[in-house]
Amino acid sequence: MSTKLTVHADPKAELSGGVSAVVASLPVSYGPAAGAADISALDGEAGWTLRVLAAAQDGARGVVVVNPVAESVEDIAAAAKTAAAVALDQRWSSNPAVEGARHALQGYLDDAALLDSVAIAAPGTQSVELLTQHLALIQDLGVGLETLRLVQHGPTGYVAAGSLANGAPMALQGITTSAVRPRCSVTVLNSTGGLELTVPDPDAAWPAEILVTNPSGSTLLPTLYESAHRSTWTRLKKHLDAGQMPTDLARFGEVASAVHRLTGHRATP
Amino acid sequence: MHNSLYPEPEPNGVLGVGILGAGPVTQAIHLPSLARLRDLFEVRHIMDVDPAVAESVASRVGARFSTSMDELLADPEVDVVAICSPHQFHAAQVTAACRAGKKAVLCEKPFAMNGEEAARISAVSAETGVPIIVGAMHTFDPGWLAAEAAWGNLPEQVHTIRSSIVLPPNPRFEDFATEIVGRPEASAPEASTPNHVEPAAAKAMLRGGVMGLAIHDLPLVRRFVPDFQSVEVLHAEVLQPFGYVISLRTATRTIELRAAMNSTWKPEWTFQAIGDEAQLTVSFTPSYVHSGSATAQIARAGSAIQLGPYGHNGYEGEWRKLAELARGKGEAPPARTLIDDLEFALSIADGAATRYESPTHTRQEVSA
Ligand SMILES: NC(=O)c1ccc[n+]([C@@H]2O[C@H](COP(=O)([O-])OP(=O)(O)OC[C@H]3O[C@@H](n4cnc5c(N)ncnc54)[C@H](O)[C@@H]3O)[C@@H](O)[C@H]2O)c1
Repeated sequence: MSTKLTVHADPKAELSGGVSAVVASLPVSYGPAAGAADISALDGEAGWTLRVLAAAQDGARGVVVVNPVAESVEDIAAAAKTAAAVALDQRWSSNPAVEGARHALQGYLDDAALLDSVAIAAPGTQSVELLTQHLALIQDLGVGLETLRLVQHGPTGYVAAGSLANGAPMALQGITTSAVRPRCSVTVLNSTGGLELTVPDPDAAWPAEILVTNPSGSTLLPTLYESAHRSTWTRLKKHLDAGQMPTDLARFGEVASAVHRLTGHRATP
Repeated sequence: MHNSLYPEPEPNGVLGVGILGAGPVTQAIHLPSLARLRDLFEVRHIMDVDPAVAESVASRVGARFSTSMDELLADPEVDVVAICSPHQFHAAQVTAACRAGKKAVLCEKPFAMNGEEAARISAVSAETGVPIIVGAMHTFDPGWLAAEAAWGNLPEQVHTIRSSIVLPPNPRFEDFATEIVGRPEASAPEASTPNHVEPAAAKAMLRGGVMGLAIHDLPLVRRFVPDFQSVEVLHAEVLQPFGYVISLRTATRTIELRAAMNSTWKPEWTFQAIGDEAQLTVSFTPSYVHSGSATAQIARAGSAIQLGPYGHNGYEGEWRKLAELARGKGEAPPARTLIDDLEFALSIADGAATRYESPTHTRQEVSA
């Protein structure tokens, strides 16, 4: 049985998460709240782990956190203990194509020769935030972050290097520019071809692209016209209907820990 | 005897070409390029230390052959000389071609082994008035040249540069891997440990990768790096079976170099220069086929212009430029540019090999 859930968004989450538009596009699942809401949407700026606890205390059944910053692993673990279902709406990793990309990538990782990834964001974006969003995508593709180390970082981006499970190099670069739209691309080359994933920002439902290349040609996998924002909300509804808790916070704890290790930076409430 | 003081066209309008070294580059790159430029050039003399190679390659194009450089340089029918021998002979052969009073010299990269040697060659070029071109084909690609004419203030704002190369199987792989260090055995990958490379082999691969492959784009990189002399290698890693990941930095620029050779059918050769508000992307065509020029895209928030493709590539472009120079038209690349390009490449090759000794490398984790 599916019930319609009421939603309240804090003003920053309304902007960063496009909450009204998403709720309007899911009119059977969600609707705006007059008073106390079933679902609370929060912006992921510093202090979000405390706000998750507060929302749950106020009776929210579910919480959506838009682009969370890398707070301490302990604070993230504490937030994960609430009774509320917490779904993270992350710029790139919440795109609905990521799951298909992860499956497709499995066939390429065993004999991978290189993983090369570039995240592009507007000038002024903090390197730590860009890196957090970048690592969240890499992790959700099923690639471990343990070997990564920071090669350099500055106001216009960063470079990180590590290795895949088979020892092949992994190179991640963040670049700030307004010349092209923000996006994150990941290329994995193996002995006979490779996989290229390009994930757009969630401000429109432009689809991510997954192009797989093998000896018989290149194939564009079917595109999904749903933004990362909307995909997060449909996922949360499924979890609540099924009475399951999302594992977003546990996975994000690993991302945050990698960000801390690489940058020495820990966002604090 | 021909003399650079008299650069007027030959009576029949074509320039006679002499080639020193008739290996794969001559056979696969230059002769096919020249075959497309019969209104400008005629191959008249081919020299190789291996007489069988010299004879067979010369016979394909109806040219004379010899095994002696002096014989080729003394041939009055030879107006311009292309130097395609192994790199260690380049300096002496370029110098001799200038002294022989030829009209112009095309020297395959690298044109010298170090900065002093490059400076000596440039001095001979200046003294004899014989212009020299180094075979950095991408700098002569019409797609690149069109981008250069259109990019406006891009170089000042660029903060990040990327060169990414994916090459299909290539019998020339060993040359790329080993031409500088001359260690053919070092490039053979061990099938049982796919991502384990002995440090000596890895260093050879990095040097060979930079001097054989990255070198084609380093002159392009340098256009966007005013403080190129302070370049520092931060990270260097090798790929199997061949390739590199190299991270560079100057005080003002971030530079990332990637190359991978695998068995894919889908080649890629992309150069990018990225600033706060504009981005140049140049996609080059594969090296050994005549599939036209690069295409260039200059993007600025919300719009982009595309330049090319044009009908010829940078190899043909370098020969067209040589014809101009031999006829006393156009400007030869400044000696300083050639020397700086070479020194930039050498410092990156040395830096990458040195950097590889850093203890954080994956090879130690996977070799256990
Ligand atoms: N521009 C490009 O894309 C590109 C690509 C690869 C190589 N290169 C350069 O081209 C040059 C030739 O490459 P290659 O792969 O053909 O080289 P190679 O070593 O395979 O062959 C060179 C030929 O020169 C001959 N030779 C040896 N010593 C000689 C001498 N003293 N004088 C004349 N000939 C001599 C050899 O017998 C051989 O036939 C090298 O300098 C290389 O760096 C350029």
